[in-house]
Amino acid sequence: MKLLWALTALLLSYFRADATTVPIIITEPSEVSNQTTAVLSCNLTNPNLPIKGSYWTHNEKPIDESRSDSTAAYTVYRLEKITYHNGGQYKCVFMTEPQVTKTIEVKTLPHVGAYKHSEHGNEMDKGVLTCVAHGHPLPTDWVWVKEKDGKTTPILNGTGDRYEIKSTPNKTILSINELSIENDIGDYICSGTNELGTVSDKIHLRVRSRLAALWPFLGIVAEVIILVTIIFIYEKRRKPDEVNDGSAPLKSNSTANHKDKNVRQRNSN
Amino acid sequence: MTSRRTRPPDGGYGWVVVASTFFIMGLTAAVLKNFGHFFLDIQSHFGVLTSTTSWVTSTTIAMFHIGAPAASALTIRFSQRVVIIAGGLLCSLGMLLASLDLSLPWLYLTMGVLEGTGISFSWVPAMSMVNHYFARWRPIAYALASSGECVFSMVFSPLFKWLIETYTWQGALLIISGLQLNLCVCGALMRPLETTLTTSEDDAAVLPSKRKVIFQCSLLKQPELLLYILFAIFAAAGFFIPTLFLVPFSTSLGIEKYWPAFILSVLAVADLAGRLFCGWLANMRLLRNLQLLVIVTTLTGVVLLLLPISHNFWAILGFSMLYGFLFGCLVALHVTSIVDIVTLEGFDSGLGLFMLFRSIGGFIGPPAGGWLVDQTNDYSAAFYLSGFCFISSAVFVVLVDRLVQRKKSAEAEGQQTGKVKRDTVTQEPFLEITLPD
Repeated sequence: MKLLWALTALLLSYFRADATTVPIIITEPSEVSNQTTAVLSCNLTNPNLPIKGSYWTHNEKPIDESRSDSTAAYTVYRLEKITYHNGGQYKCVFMTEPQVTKTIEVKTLPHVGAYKHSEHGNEMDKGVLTCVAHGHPLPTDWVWVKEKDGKTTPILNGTGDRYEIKSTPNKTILSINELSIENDIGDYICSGTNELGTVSDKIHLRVRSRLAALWPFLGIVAEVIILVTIIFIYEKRRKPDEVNDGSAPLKSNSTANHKDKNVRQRNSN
Repeated sequence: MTSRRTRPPDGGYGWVVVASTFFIMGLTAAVLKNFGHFFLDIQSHFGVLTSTTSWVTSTTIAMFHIGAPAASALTIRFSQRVVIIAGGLLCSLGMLLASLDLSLPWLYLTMGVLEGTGISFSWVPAMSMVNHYFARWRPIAYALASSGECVFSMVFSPLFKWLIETYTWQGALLIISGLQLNLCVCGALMRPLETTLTTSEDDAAVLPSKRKVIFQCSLLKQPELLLYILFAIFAAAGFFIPTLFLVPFSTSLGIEKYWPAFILSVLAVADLAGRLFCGWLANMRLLRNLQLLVIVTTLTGVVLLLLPISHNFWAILGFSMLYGFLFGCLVALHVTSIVDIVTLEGFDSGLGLFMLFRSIGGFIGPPAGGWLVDQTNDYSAAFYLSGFCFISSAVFVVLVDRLVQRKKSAEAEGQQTGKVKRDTVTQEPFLEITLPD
């Protein structure tokens, strides 16, 4: 019995020694979810090594303003306005030998936006609509919906052989083959969902007809033909007896040029 | 000996010619400047690199320069009107075929070769026409006509973007083909000048076999023209570098978003102002055209050498405005100066040779600038090179001016002996031979 107690005491003291060599960081709060402001704090309990300073990192990138040389075992970082920009993984780092860190996750609604809110496609060609997401955590689910005249129709991968959806957590691409002017013009809504909620954006698709440019072209050609005809008729009327351009008269027997010019001419009469 | 001389009307119908040239410059040079809008679409359509796509523009510019002597020769043989109309048809055909979108080599052939040749056939005779129609008012007439390039360039930039968005790039090319067909209208307006002949009977044995000279290659034997062509080569090398590197340079200084593009627009406006101002200034004849050209070229070089010291947006903007203005002045002067060097009769051939050799500078300049920037890892190097090119070209102009002045004084002596007479209006010399009746 005494041996058992001695053994237990030995084991306990061993564990307690272990416990004193591993510092524990208490984070407050442990996780930020759907809040507009937050104060992140790290409390280093039982520090047995000297603390040279501390700083915070955001998604593995050190935050310069959070650097502190204080040897306190307590550090705070304020988040004034939480948006998808500053969501992510925050780590408090105590500069000890070796370093000790703990992570606090800041979760927000994702930001879902379209590359271009107005997309153009050519008739019978392929149309590509893209939506991207930013924030943490990234959407796990993407849904495309077509809206026309107030009615919404969901689009699934492979619907009618023309639709193709390729999704990754930060991007979703909807490809429509063989665009047609009657069926495919309209608004397309992409929705990204993460554990906090769903955010959507709308894209308007316009389909251009290949022959649309033909009419302005023919109009301009007609205008050119009319103008050139008018100019040539005018030229003919101005000088009906004028010789064609390029060939000049061999001998000039007009005396009209003598007035103000220093021309010496020999007339052949 | 029979000589065919045209008398510059210096006004009257000449202003119609100026208006027509205004449109021709717009429909040719401004279209060329805005080719860049098509790059992204063509690149993604064919799935090639940017450098492959930019060969289209290079081909067009190359054909523009190579076609210039041919255009000059044809202008002399036929008339400006015929050649411009032919050029308009070529341009229009080129863009029309390009819009069919058959393949990338097809684009090189249509948008590159056909379009470039068409632009050359329209631009060169138009230049020729303006210079033939004016003597006293030549600088202003030329400046007004060449400002068409600036004005149309500013209009075409948003227009092309809108056309490509609304009609696809193939449709946009089709519509631009129609627009370029208007070159034929402009050509139709180019009424040829009435020619007066002075005939004098020389030895009866000498028959006037070749009344018209097709192309005066002999002009190259004149040292003045040779030196001027050297000026053209260096100036062309300096021309294209700043516009290429201005945007990357300002971005490297931290200027972002659309402000670098704004600098380029300011440059274009300053260009227009420079052309008009210098045309008016040259018209006042306070200095010789060539002297003015020396001053302008040297100043341009100095401004470019100083540009890299700018560290913020306003400094770059200021220097760019100055550079744009001086660039416009240079453009307003450098073609009309050819008349001072080779006289009006040799002008067409001289212009063709000038354009042909200028292309050498245009081809060497940008790659040399790019290589220097890569070597020194600093965009300033490109501006230093450009400034150096301009200042060296100014040296050539000084030499040309000296030679031309010497030739003129030799003629003045000849005048005193009665052999050489000077036309009272155009100040061009002509040889007068009188035989006893």
